[in-house]
Amino acid sequence: MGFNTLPFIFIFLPVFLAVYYLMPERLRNGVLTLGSLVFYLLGTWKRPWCLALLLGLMALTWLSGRKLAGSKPLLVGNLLVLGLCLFGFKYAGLLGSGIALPLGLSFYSFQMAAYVIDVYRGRMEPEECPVSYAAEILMFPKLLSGPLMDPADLKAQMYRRTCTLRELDAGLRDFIIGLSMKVLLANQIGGLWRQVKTIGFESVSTPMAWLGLVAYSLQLYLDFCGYSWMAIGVGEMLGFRLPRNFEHPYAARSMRDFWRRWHISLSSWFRDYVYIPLGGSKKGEGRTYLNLLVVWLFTGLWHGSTLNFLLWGLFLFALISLERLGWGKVLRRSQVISRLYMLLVIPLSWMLFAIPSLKDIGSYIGRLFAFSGGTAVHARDFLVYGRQYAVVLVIGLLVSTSLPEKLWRRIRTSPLGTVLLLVLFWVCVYCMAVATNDPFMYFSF
Amino acid sequence: MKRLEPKQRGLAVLAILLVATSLAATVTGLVLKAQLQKYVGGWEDRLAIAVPFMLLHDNTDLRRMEQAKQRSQDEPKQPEQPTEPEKPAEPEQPTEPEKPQVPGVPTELPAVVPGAQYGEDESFFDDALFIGDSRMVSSAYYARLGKADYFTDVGMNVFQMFSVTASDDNFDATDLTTLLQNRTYKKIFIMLGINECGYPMSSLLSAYQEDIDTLKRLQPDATIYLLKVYGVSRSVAEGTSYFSPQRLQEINDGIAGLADGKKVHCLDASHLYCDDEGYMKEEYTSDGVHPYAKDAALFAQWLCQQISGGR
Repeated sequence: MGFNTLPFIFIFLPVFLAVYYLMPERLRNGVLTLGSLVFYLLGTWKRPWCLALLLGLMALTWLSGRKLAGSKPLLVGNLLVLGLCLFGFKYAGLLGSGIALPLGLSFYSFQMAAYVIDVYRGRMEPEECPVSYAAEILMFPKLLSGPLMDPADLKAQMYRRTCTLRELDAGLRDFIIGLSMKVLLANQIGGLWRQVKTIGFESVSTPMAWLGLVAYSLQLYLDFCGYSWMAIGVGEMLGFRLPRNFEHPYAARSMRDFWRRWHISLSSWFRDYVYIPLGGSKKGEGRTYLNLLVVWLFTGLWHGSTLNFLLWGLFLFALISLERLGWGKVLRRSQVISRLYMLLVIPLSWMLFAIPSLKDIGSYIGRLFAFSGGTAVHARDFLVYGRQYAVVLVIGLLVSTSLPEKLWRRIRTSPLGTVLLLVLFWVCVYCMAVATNDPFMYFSF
Repeated sequence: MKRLEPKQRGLAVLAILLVATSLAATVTGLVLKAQLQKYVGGWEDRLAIAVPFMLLHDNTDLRRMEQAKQRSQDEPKQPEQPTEPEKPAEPEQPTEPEKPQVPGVPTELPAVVPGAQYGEDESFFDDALFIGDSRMVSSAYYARLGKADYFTDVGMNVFQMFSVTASDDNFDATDLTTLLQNRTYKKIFIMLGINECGYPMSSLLSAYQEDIDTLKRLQPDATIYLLKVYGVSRSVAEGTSYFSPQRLQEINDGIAGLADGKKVHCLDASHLYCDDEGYMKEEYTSDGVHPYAKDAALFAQWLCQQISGGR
């Protein structure tokens, strides 16, 4: 059950909030655990083994956690099990087993891995209470697609959080903003990329190929950023502070900068649990590049099992390496060059991310640069679809900048802001009622 | 939750507004849903709060409900209202005994048809009108025939064929009635049915028949060609039961029944894109429903062959 579905908004969330608020504070972690189990079960009722896997891994990491401090074999064992489950399921699908990736596995396995590593390192005390640990892992606002949280911070919030009308109000406002990004922008703009796929990669015109990539880039950002705001909003309603996941990444002036602003919680995870333990940048230039290569290959593999994700990781590694080698200095000096550079490489990187087949990637590159790969069946397709999607594309581009957020902060809690949110909410409900369900893109990863 | 100071009570405004408007929408939805279920049917699985918005988006069932209510007032002696009061009489059967259907071969065609060669001589279609949903939109964009007009729209269905507006290279945004009143067509091709798969058969065919009758009235000299609904990919069909080949076969049998073999004919293009089981082949589609743009030409080419007697 996604946050952008009517049953979640009008049945699950209100019922859960009512029970949660009515319960005394000491019982709320238990309510959160039970509610999250129901939430997960509703999303996986056709595959109940997914819940068994989640509970099994949770039991393993909790039990191990209590004896983990300083025990390397136990840590390695836990990480092996988590890694085998994660990559086993990811690649089982690729091998044609017909087994789909269990919902949320990529995220909750990383959350559990962070916990066991931090307990091993002595950065935090193990969680003694099984209900609190279950609530930390299962917490439905972040269970399926993050944001990933610092385990120590998460644990602290389990025992001390503020939950007043102020948090409910703030949470509702963030939730509606996220919902609008997803339903009113991402879903609408996504239609353009769907159109490119329907036409066929080798049959689009060159301008349409670029337009399609712009649409995909915006859709991915607005979809996941919208989801993250909704998760933050629901978290706030429950008294939690979930970390911000996006800081206007399309305003970045280099790929390194971009990845400090995009899916921040995942980037931080890779930094804290892969890059730095490997030595980071403190073991010489050669080792730094090797560490970067490991991180980006791992990032690619985490996102998907098909070869395009590996290619995507390598592409990002190449760009970031180039920037470290001196290209970054050029980008810092010139606004024009850095903007043009990002305008080119962001859509290209998302192309590798979006198209699973290497043959199709080849065709698409051929269409992008008009040198081969097919012919446009309709030379003016970009005009037809450009006109059709112009308004949402322009709004999507604007929302990707920091300007709307600055303006929004001024009126966020004003009567005007309240009315605007109410209108946005009901327009979203209208769109959800009349459209087929459009799940969050990151549910697939 | 902790009690707040009076000056902080403004914080509850948004929550109160959301709850109040949600309750209002739910009550409205419950009332409408009960009425629709009684007079039209097929609304039992809908979430009540979604109902007002669905009707705002497409008021077809609202109109059908009003018609059913009207009929029930006109026939006060009937003891009970059927769930589908407007259920039409059984579709007219072909006058001749049914012949086994051969994929790709039209069930009925005019005795004499002029020739047409795709990409060479498409003049046969100069006085043709194509009507259809997103699948026909694809033909309009990527494989036009002659100087034909295309009245097409994504999501078009037999229930709102005459209430939607559409535009084309050859005309600005207009509704179908206006278009038919201002232009003369000798051939009208209709490709609809995929968006209506979830509707009860009786209401679907009844609406289709009404559309055909209106077309005949507005364009008495035109020959009407009904195109059967070709299948979707296996993965799409498995996700949505009413896209199954069996369901589409039912609909197609119904559509064939609307043809009279004189002014209304039925064509079947399924074999172009589908396998023997009726599923769209994966190599022809990305989304499982629409053929790739380059494959729209297959349909145009096939249509030329059909209307020129198989040449």
